[in-house]
Amino acid sequence: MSDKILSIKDLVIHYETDEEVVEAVNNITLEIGRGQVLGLVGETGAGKTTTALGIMGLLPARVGHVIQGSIELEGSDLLKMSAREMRSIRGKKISMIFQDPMTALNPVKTVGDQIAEVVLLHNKCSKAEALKRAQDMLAMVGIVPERYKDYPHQFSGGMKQRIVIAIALACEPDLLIADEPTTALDVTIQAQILDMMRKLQKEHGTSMILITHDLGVVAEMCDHCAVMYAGEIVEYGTTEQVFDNPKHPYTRALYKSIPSLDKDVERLEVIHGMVCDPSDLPTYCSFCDRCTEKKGICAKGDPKVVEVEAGHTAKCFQYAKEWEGK
Amino acid sequence: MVRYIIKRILLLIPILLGVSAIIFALKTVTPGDPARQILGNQATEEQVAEKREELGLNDPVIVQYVKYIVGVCHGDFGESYRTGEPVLSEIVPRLGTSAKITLGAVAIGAILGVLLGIISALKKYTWVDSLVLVISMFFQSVPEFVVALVLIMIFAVSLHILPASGIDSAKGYIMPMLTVGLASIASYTRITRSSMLEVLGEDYIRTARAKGQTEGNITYHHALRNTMIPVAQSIGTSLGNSLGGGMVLETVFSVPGVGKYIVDAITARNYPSVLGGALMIAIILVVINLLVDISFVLIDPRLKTTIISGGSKKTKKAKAA
Repeated sequence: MSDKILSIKDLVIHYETDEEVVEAVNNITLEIGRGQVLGLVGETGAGKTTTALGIMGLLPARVGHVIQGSIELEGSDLLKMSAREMRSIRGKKISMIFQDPMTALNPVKTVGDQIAEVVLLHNKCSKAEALKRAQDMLAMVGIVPERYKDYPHQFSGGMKQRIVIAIALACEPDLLIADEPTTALDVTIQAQILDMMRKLQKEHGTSMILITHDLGVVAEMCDHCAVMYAGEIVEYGTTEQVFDNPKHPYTRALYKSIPSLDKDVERLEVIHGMVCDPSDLPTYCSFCDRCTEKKGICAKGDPKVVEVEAGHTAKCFQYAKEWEGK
Repeated sequence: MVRYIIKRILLLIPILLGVSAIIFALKTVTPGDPARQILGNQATEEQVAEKREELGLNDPVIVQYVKYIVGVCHGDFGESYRTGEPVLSEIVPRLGTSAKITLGAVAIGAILGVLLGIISALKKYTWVDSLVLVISMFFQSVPEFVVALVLIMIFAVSLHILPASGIDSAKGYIMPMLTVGLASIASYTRITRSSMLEVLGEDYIRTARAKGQTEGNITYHHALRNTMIPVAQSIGTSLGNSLGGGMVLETVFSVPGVGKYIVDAITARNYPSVLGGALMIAIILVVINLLVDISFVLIDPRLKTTIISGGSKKTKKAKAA
């Protein structure tokens, strides 16, 4: 177990309001090895961010509930911890980079103060030492350290994301969760930020969960890859396994939808239909209604997760005994 | 910044010209002769004519107006028809009295209102939130003079701890301040509550939580300053409003304030006093607005660039929102 930094077992997260119950995360099981990068892929609403917020203990108050399961960080269950214990873990052992750097920084505090804040929270040091550390962090993410006195509005979007990354890495966390860190940035900046993140991840040996809907990013950055659909992990394996030999029809459909430079096509391939309503999930396979490879059995029950090869799993009836003949 | 302040003070000139022109115009169309008003019904026509000449009332309005403006530029606001005293020396002490009450009232209203607003934002949708709403709405819906009378009943008549009227001692200020202050709690509470709720939903609050920051520090260090931007605006407005609009209250508590002074002057057709009072209030309003805008810059660093570079007021507000 010691080579695993984080292991999630049978995690179920619901958003409960007066009107409905949204089943955002349904029974997911995941492990992340120390120093490894796991890509969490899926379309909007697949439950990627909810999983991340669940790990951080930052689900929306009153609405978000962990129904069952465990999230173990180095063997201790985060879900059983007190608010105080969780606070000592957030920012110190697990950090998170959020999607939109434009709004992730407090507009009325200098960036130096915002980086120093997390340093002061988790280390016994003076304000001056924390500010020194903040300047070092700025230098590390490629910003002139003297700018620590500037306010967020004086930086561009890409630079703000660098600052957010500096905050996340300031206490050298064991695990970094990056929730679509480049989605809000333009393409040229995306590459810079990803390069920088990969470099820092390698240098510090940080484990990382990279949430994205960009398969290219996964191919470039990740050791393992989990494909999420309607709150479930439908396929999991090493990045090579999942990319070279996709087993789940959804993963295959995702690849087909990537535009290719070699082929001259009128229209891009799409996955027909809509993601099923998470407040009204079917009792059978949730991808069944959009699946091009389905058989009668698919609408009759929920498939089990099957290990199709060593370390490569898929949640599909194709790999079950019942598939033949039905 | 200094250039900005100078520019804003220069803006006073057209405002004051406008205010004085309107009051001068009103003076010419309202019926009644101030000279007759001063001398009384027993005076002869000759005496009245002489007085009119003395007051310069026979000059064309434009000449009267220019003379008045020239006087104001030299610090001469004319003499009160009623007392013959210089208007300025009558207004300044009254303005001081009104300012004390206003400042005290706004302080009471803003401090209590902001506190209650924060509490109800942090405890949103609980009974605490509802209770705060009910209390603040109560004080807003009851007219000020009713609150004033109830306070007099309790503190002056029953408990004998505060004087019922007058400001002979510092105690006399307490009830007027309370009356105005309590009435304004509701608006501060509502502005603070909605602003705080909006701020607490911002991404940077989630960032602070992700750092492992405590809820108390998040409220105090991250949310409060961002919450205060609309509150500061509202404090500025109500400072101006209660300074000139305290006539009812000043009458109930017999406080010699500037609001009562102007109302008395209007009924007596004492134009120099009306003009002087209105101009002083206009000056103070402009200065308060300037102070509020400067406080915005202190609260929100994003505005500094726009203000120093001379951005127009509209873009500033738009960015603040």
